[in-house]
Amino acid sequence: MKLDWEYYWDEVKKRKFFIFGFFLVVLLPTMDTWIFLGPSVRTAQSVGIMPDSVTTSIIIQKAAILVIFAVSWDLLSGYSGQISFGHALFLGMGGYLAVMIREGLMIGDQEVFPGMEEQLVDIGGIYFDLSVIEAIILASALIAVFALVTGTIILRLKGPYFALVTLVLPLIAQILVTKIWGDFTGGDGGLQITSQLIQKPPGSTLEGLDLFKLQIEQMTTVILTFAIVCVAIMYLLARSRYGLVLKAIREDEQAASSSGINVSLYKVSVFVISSFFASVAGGLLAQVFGSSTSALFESERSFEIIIFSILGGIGTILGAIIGTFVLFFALSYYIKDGFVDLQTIEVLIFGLLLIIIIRYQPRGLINADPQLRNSLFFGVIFSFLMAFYDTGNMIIASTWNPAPILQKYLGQGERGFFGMDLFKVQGRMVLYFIVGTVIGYYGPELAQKIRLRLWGVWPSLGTFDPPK
Amino acid sequence: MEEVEEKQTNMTWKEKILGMNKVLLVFILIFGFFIFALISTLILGAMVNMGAPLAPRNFVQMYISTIAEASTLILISVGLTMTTRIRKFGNFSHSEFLVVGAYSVLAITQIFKITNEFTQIIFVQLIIAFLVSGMVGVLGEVLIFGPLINRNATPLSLMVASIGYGIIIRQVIQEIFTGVSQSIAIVYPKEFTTWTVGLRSMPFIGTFFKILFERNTSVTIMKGIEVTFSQNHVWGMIVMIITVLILRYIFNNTTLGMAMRATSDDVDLAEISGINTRAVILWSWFLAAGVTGMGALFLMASSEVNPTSGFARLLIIFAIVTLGGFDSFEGTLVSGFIIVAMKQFVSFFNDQVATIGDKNETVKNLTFWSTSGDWSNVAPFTIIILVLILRPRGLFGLVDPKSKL
Repeated sequence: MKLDWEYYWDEVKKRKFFIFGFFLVVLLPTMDTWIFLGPSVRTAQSVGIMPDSVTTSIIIQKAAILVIFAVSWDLLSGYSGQISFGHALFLGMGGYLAVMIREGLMIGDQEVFPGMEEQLVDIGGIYFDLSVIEAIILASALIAVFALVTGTIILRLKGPYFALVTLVLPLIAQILVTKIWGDFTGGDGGLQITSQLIQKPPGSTLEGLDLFKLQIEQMTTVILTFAIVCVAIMYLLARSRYGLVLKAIREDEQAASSSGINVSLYKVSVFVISSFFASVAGGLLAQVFGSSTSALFESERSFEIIIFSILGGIGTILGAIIGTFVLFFALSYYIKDGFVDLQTIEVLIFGLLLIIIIRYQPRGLINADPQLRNSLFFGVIFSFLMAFYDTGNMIIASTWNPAPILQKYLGQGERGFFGMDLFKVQGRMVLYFIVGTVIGYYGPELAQKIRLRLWGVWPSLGTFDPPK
Repeated sequence: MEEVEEKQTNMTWKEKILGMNKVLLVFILIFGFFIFALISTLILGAMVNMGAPLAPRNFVQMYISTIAEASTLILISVGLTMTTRIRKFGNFSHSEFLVVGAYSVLAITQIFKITNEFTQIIFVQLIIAFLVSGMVGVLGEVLIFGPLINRNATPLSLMVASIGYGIIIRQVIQEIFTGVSQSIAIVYPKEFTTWTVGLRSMPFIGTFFKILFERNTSVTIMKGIEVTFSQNHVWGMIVMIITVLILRYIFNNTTLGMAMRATSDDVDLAEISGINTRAVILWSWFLAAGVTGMGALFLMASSEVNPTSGFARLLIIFAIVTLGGFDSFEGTLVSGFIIVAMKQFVSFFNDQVATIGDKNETVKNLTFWSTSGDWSNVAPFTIIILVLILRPRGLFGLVDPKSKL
């Protein structure tokens, strides 16, 4: 396969501000042990305007896993046009099967098959259990076989019919797992993981919090490696001739078929590949949570990544990555039980953004026209990021005025972005307006009252009613 | 042209069945399921030879609860049929109209602080639920679906947009009313005049009035078979029948209905023939969402309502509409009964197996997974998948499966 590096570099350069700026902002809190940046990061963390490194690491882990999941959905739905509303089926199956294969399966006193044995390896100072990773890959391979069987049946359906069937499948799986096969899936509690992926290095003197921090960092490294490898494979697939054929099928199935493409073969194969990577994500997610529960099957999981990918730009791998990372970070304050909680008021923004994007920029933010991208994208993303930076942790100073700090972040320039968001200051909600720079904020009382009018046009003339 | 005429004259058995009296068809289907349930249970019992295989459960009561449950489900599903027929996409925010209907009734007493019993009378509640959820449906069309369809959006992006609309409605309701479960108080009308009391003593009409105006009525149908009618169920059935009749009348006999049918067949052609398609589309959204909101009252009256209780029922609505065919009115009616009967049958069968499993070790070991769990929720989902794979246009659907839906 010939790689067109110039093309990739151009793609990156076009979006260099997003990519590098964003990753700098995201990864900054984890750099508290670096020689040059370390002291200033630690100062910011101690003052409380930056989340601590452990929180950030855990969020990065989850976001990276969701990136694998979202990209696998995008490969199936964005590239080949077979929109699946229930990709969580593979996420959940991956989670359960990987744990089962690693830990072994017992029904009552009867052992169906034994678990795998521990294989400790040391790669670059990271001590990890290779059998866990083997179990994840083995489980994903099994699920790929399952996808081959189901795919040949359900891919005969087209468009909305396919979407409906895929919507239903994870719900059946959820009922089976919680209500019917509870004897060996653990019912509502789920399957607990007893073997950790990251092990304590032999001869290490670290204890308690330091050990925990080290393990979290190593876990992040392993998961990021996984994410980079998986996404790279899918990106190369999508950029190759294979991806081109998928796009042809998406645009016109009959035309593709008449030019000699075996449409059903390609559709089933992309279904299988996509299911493989989704199950890898599921297996990793189970490792992060320490158990695989039926929450993995919920339709919110599927909708979540659909929203991420559509916001980022459907049919572009980069869009899925950026959309997932940005929105997951943006909403990480609203995360409950390890997932973005789709039951909170803040998720209203989700729904509104989704409709705005489908209405005005159906190709997603990554492909939006530059003017809109610069205003809307920056405004929304930055206000979300500010929410992450300011609300994820307590604010120590009692008389703290956030406006200067926000201004420092956003600059006084004439950048045409705007944004509004609810921030929590000293445990109370405050509504901020950002148009280029902070132009005003409202106190908790008013913020409570006008939460519903959050996205209305609101003339803001200055700072009043500061938080006490 | 000749071929077409030939097809019309030579009716296949399918067309003959579809031409049958629909009510008869419904009854055949329902009774078929229960006879099947009975026979299979007896066979199972004989096989295991364990004395009494039948769990103490009243079959007639099962019929009645099936019909009652099916009535409310049909009432909330016909709206989806209408919008699918006219807008050609599956509306995933349909289940939120349920929540809107239920909460609009709650809002009257909570926000406006009207403690008057007047607002709790069923007719007032039905009208409020109808109007408010109808308006929400129209709002979705005006703000989201209409502009999107004008931009030639695909059915799939419309489906995604409807997920977004559903999220918005749910969150707004959650924000206003919080996520706490609340119960709706419904006051059914009292007997209007004193002379109806005199009718109570009459054999059939008296029982009917008793069922209508008392909360729970026990009726002895045969020796040893006693059936309890819940007032909620009976009113649900009556409202469903009246609503479906009115909708059928509107669809078949009025100018609006004719315009609706024309618009659903071809929007451009309808517009050329002088139909105000925009008004027609808005009217059908209003009717569809309004009827769904009305159905919510009966659905939520037996249980409590919270913002997610609509979303939880989205799939059973889709199961009914898929089985009936996305655009068929009769199909929704029949498949509502089929799906509920299927659910009841599966849970009944589950009980039987569990009963036998308690006594017989072999059965217990054989079916360790089915006795412990409840398969009845799996049944409707399995139906959706089977129907979509084997017969995508459903039982009565007219849509060509190769079309865009």
